[in-house]
Amino acid sequence: MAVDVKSGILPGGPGEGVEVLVSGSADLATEEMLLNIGPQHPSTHGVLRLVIALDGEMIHSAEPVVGYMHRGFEKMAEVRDYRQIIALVNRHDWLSAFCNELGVVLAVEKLMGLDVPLRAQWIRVMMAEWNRILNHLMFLGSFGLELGAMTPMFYAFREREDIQELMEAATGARLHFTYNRIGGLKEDLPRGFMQHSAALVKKIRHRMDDYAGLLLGNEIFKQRTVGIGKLPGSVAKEFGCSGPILQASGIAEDSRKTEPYLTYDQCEFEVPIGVQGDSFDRFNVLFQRVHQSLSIIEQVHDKMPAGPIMPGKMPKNIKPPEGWIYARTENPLGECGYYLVSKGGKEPWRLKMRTPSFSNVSMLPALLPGNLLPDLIAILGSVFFVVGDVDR
Amino acid sequence: MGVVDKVDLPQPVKFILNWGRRYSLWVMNFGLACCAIELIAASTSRHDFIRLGVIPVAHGPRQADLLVVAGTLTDKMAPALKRVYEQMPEPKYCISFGSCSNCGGPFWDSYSVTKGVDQIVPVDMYVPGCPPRPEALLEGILLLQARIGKESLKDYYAKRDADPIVVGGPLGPVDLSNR
Amino acid sequence: MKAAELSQHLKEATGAIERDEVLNEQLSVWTTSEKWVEVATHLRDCGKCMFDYFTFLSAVDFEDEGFEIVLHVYSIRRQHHINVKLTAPRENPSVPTLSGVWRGANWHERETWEMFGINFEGHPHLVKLYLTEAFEGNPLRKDFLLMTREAKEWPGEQEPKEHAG
Repeated sequence: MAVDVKSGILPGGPGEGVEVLVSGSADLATEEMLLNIGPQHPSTHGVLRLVIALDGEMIHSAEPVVGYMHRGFEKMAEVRDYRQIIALVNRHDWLSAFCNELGVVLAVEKLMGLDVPLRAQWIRVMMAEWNRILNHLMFLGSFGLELGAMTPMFYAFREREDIQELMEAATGARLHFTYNRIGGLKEDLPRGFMQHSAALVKKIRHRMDDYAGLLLGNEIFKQRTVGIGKLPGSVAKEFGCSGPILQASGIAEDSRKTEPYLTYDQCEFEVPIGVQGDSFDRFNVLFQRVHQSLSIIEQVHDKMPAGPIMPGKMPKNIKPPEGWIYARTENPLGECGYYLVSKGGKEPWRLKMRTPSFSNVSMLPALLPGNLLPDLIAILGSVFFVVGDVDR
Repeated sequence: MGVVDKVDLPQPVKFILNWGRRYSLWVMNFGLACCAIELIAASTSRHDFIRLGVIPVAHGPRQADLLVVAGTLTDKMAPALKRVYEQMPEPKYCISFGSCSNCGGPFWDSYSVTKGVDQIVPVDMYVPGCPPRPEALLEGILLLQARIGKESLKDYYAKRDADPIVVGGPLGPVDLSNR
Repeated sequence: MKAAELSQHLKEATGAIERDEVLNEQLSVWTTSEKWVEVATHLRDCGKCMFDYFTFLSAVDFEDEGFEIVLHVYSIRRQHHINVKLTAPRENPSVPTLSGVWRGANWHERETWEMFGINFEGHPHLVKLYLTEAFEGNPLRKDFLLMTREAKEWPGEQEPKEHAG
């Protein structure tokens, strides 16, 4: 673009008489710069490091460097018995601990052919949905924080505290629940839990309007996220992205609907999908998922039967028969699967954890190039991941 | 630092100086894993450590005087922790939050976890739990503040000079005795 | 398609399936290293299979029998899963890469290489993913011992009354 620079130079000043010729579309010759983001940085992502090759503010290539939270879960699972791995696996995706435990317990139960009592299944559905809301609230708050909005973060944590209080009444923990056992649950719900849960559903549904008002209708938010970071459905599938990211790209794949586990086939809910697959759609899908979870919890309140929560006395040393199985659940972040190989011992021979964030982050080198650096923050905040899940 | 770190200050001056220091601890959030969630929960409205003067908006380690290491420290991340700690100006304190940073925690047998942050940086307060409740962090901060209130800066710097944290790197060790 | 049907279709279409197993309604087929990419490409492109979603790729260490590489893919349109497996010997295990078939295989293969020491021929960027440069060994092999447990045995579970005091 040709610019007439002479007219901008003040007469009588040091620039007078200087002629600057700017021509063509490459105004200045620039070199590529390598920018390192992380591993320690002030956002809530955790220890993810990105090495970005920039030309001015345009990203040429992005390489995530992971492994700063690699704790060796799969090796440790081979030396712990089937009861101990429940306490181990709820720490890789630390925002959805119950759902992780659920996956592992379902894998072992399927391999052993155990029948889980109906009441335990319904309680598991309810706790899994509360945990899903806990997880989504965290990202609803932190996405706003990335873009400079501080209020949604405090609102999100206000809601999270209420839900954590509810779950603490039943499980005894605020973050790592360890409530599932092979065959059922640790103990039954305390008295008054269902009323407390019903009141909390109404309260949170009412408070979700705050988020809609603050963020979804916000002009600044929309300008920063609509059309940014469009992920085509075919790319998402190729990399194995799942959960809100896949649904925002228009693909309604949710294992609660396609391969219902527990009693999800008796619950009515929708799978919200997006249109373009941009950051705004991902956020919107997350928001709608919270509403769907609230409606599932209300259905559980109506349909929960009385009964036992364990199928009789379970042995101390659980030894599934020899074989292999892949059990997947719809974790809040996506598809979390456990490939379990058993050789009949009291410890798993191999527990492969297929975590959703690993695939979501592996998609970043294909998504980021071509975007501007400030948009990187908006995109990174919208690709929901937890570093413990990426690194295990 | 002039005369403050070389002389035993008179009690009223020491009281005021420590009072100022202990109620304005700006914290560098080194949130790594699950404990980071409880750390953030401790800073939000229900538990709120901001009312104790501990404000989590240090823009970088250079403006912070308290480092809270929350979560599992892996061998790959350890150099980054050391570097952040070295960038903080003196006098500085460190709280190890959670059992992973105290001693390796549930990952005691892992091949890639540093069994305890105190192998890398000197720790002033250990808060146990997995994850600890936010109230535990509040108690830890109160105890640390009580300790700072009784502290003598002369002893603090004498201890540092006796056992200095060597600022390594391509320039080699730096002589810190001449302040 | 049901597991038995899918297995039959693959045997006829590719001729590369050595054996199959259906366990708890899940299908596993075994193939060879030479036909690995061919089978994968058929799974992706064939109209009856349509395996477009890459779930995971990993390995299992079966000590004397060698390594078993497991590929798990899923079809969103047809809603069926399949495990494709391959046995690699313990000495210098080497398998062709699948990152040309599904780009998602890239990171999974890097992780499997790092954890097991299995080479993936043709992989564009086989460098360490999780571990530091100084780390020696392949952690998920069965002969890699966790040294903390070797140095001090875990005391085992104890009933509360066994604790002194």
